Amino acid sequence: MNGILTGGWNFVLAAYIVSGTILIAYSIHAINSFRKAMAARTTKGL
Amino acid sequence: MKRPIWVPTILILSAAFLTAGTYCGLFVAPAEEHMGEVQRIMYVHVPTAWTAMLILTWSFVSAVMFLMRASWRWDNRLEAALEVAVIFCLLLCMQGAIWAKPTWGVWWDWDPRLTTTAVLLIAFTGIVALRHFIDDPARRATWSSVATIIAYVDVPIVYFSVRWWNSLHQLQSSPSTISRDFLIPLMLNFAGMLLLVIGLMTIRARTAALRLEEEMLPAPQPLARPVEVMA
Repeated sequence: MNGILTGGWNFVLAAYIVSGTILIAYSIHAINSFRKAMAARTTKGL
Repeated sequence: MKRPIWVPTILILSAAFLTAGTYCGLFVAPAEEHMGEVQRIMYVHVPTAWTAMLILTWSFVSAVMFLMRASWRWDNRLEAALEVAVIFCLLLCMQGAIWAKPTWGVWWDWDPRLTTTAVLLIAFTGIVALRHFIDDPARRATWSSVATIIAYVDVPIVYFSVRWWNSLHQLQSSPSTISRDFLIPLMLNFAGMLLLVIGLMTIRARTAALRLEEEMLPAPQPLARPVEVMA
């Protein structure tokens, strides 16, 4: 133990993959919800 | 209602910044002297924290503005900010746990910074849930605005927790003391996240406006007299 961290690439990749997955999934969800709401509005002739 | 034309441009720009930031953070920036490769998590964790604080502040502004002006536009902005804030707080806690394991030896610790952030996540998730439980739009907007203002009290506590109490979490660094090699991926990812959040909150606020419009439609009236069916 010398206080210096070695390795840890698995944690780095996990952080980036988790962040990317959550952000992409939420972006797709937000865009799809908007499209559905727009489609519903058009159907009702508003 | 028009489709937000500038939003795709913002989302494409955001993807470009995030790709460049990730590339620089993973392959260009050197390993840090003491924390080694694990420090690369900071290029995504710190921009997430900065962006989360900005979204939470925007939700507070939206709540105050709704209560002052009673405008649905501000309630739609509040709904968008609340949802995106929950996503970013969740992301912050998950990245923090992944960082904590190799550096502190544990996934989670009831440290002041971590605990106050968890409180923030739970409080804002509760407000999003509250909005789903209330059918009356006016009551929903007022109650969630008041709840947001109360929950926002935790934001400065999260920020100053590392200074006020003896915390495992390190103190905030100033960009002026960070080496340029480390600063570039940090700022690229921050720019990318900020643009992403602006785009997402715009889309989400317009979705909220469309749903509200539908909710406000008058219910179909029953017929005054029964229709006679001709045999």
